[in-house]
Amino acid sequence: MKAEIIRVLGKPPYGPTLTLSKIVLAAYVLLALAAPAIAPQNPYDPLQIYGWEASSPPGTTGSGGYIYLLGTDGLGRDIVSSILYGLRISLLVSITSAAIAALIGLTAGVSAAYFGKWVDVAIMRLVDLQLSLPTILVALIAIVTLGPGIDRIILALIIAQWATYARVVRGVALSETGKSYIDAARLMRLPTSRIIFRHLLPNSIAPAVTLIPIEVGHAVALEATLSFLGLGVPIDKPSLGATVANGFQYLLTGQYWISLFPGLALVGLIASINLVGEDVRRRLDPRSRSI
Amino acid sequence: MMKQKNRLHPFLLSAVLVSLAFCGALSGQAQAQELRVATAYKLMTLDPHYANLNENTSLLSHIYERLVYQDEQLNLKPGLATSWERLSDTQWRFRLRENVRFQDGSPFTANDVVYTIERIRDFLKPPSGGFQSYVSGIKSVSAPDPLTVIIETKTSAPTLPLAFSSIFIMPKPPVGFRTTEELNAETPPVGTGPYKFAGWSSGETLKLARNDDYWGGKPAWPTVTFRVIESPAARVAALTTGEVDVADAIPARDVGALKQRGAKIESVGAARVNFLQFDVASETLPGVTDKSGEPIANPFRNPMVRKALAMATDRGILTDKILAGYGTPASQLFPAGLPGTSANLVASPPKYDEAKALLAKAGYPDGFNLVLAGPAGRYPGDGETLQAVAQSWARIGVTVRPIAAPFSVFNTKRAAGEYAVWYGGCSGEAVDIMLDALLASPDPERGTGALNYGNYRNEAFDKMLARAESIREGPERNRALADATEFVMADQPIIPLYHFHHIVGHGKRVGSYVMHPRGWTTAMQTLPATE
Repeated sequence: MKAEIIRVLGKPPYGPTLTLSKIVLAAYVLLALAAPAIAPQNPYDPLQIYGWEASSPPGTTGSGGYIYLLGTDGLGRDIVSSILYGLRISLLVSITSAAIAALIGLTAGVSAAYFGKWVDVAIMRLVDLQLSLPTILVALIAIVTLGPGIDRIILALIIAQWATYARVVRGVALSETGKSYIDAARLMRLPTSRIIFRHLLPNSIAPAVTLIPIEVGHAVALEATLSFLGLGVPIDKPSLGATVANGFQYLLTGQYWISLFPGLALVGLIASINLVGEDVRRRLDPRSRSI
Repeated sequence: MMKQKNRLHPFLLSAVLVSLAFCGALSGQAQAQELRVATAYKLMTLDPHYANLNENTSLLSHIYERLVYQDEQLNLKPGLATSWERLSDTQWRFRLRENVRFQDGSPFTANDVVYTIERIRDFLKPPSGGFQSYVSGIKSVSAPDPLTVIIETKTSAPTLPLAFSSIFIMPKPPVGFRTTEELNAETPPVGTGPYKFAGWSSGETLKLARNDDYWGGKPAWPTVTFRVIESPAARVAALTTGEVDVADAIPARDVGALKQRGAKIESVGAARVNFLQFDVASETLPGVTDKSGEPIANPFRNPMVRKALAMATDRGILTDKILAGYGTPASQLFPAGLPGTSANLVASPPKYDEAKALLAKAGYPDGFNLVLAGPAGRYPGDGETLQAVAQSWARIGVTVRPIAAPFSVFNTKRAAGEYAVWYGGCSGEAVDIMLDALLASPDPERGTGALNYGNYRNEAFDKMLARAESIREGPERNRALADATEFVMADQPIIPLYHFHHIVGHGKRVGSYVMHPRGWTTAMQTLPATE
């Protein structure tokens, strides 16, 4: 998908676009880290929310003594603060789940390649089965089964994403397994775990690592989708997707700000992660190094 | 003679119409066509005794009728029965309407009433979709002549006619009883109502045709189509685009935009209440801890705690902000002014300082933590209310973790005692029915406490309520019910939050729509516009 977009746009993201997206992404991360210090309100603390100021338009001055720059939602939460705190959840969930999914996928893929036979069959058929279903469907099934909670969302995203890594890694590891250094290691009677983790894994890891940034982008979008559907995050701790969903029901009423601004923040986040991720992939993956 | 009559009739009708228009009333017209209604009520069955839920009763009320019905003030009015009389403490006599025919042409008689009562009481599997409680007190029912029904009750039943405002009368088949499956599958449902069944696709549409032989005069619409649209946004959209003429259960926040686009909006305070209910019986409760997270003994057994929480609840935010004005702050079970309500109970603005002092006096100066549960998307404003209450209670040190679950999940867990305090809703034909269900001690024999999931027991109140219920309909009974309500609310077993308003929108083809607090959506309430 990203590759297609880049092809359509005519040029890989070099120069100003890439620089800009790096700056934007860095800003997002900094804002997320600094949210408790810079957000005018903690939207997860009911004491700091004034219900009577619900649905205030952008620019209204609140009882907290600060201006609701982007307005408030239907319960009186400041949209600016909701975006900042929502970013934290989005980034926490997506980075954690992508990293753990990568770890699991790597191990599964390498094991499948190394052991072959029924281990390979078992792992790869499971991967096939899962990849034949849309990722969002797998995530939906997982979250419905697991129940609500941020930890459950992370788990659901891991379940939805590990197969991608396993598939990619297995292919590379399969060709590595046939190489002479692995034969040498086997002849030296090194323990299996040592062969896998010290020799095979490091040599098969590159394609999986290049996947991580792109899968983080995926995870952000997945989490937002699940939250938008009302699954996952607790209702009093909305993430970006949940805030968009909360505002969605007010769209007809003219209270556009509840959905619009968190939605834009989400678009910016996913776009910058994808552009930067594409660049990382290009640098790490020798096959796509052009010119 | 005949010819003349035919010519006179339209003339008379238009004269009536003109006078109506002059009176400023909204009027009907001769060439009204199809009425198209988008409803949130998802009809489950064609058996009128399958489940006592608005989902079924609202739509089936076109086909079937009741002996009596409640008008907009909830007063009883004659339906298929023209009068009723209490012969003794345990005996009622109903006189039936003459010359009423079922839609298949057979006459309506007292035997049909006997059949209907026996079907609910004896034939259907208890609790007969919730209808059985209306007739379980009936010892015998007989038909001394085709237009008289005598009902003998086991104990004194001063409000028996009210029970019949919920029971649809079915025609007696030649032999035996009709099963729900038969009614759903083989035969079209037949009643005495103003509209005839014309087609049903389960869960999607119900088509109705005018019953030209209706005893109450010719119904306004030749055909009526109900479309079940469960998503509020889709109902609003269907009304906006003119796909339907009437849409019910409009979210309050969409009212402004709908009015701008030319739709008319009607609303009425619902004869129901949404409330917070406490588990007041268990020793400990899931999710209730002190500020350091250690489980504590059930604080809600102390009335002072319940009162402090009630005092710290800002109902204004709920009705003005979340319900956008389409709700009334509640201090009792029915909106004040309806029969059996107390004028002395007033929902006051939050008093955080007093509440905090009371909580300290009860032994919780630092407050405590709790989990507040509720259904998501069942009632207007339910999910938002949980969070607004969390804001309110945080101001007296009570930390709330709100959790919203789909109604089916919520309902199961509530019945299983997995919640400490929760948001619920209750409606009823009369306030004593709701007092019985919500606040009277659970007693299967008397049929009380069906919704008293918190296991609240107050013998003095039970006695007051039972005494009030033994009084015949009238001011004395209403006063006794109001007194009992005042007495029990002083103990705060529940925190009434609001009475939401039913909101219905209609387009240009509809001249007027009369709201009813029971919240049904019917073609009978809808009059065509004059062109």
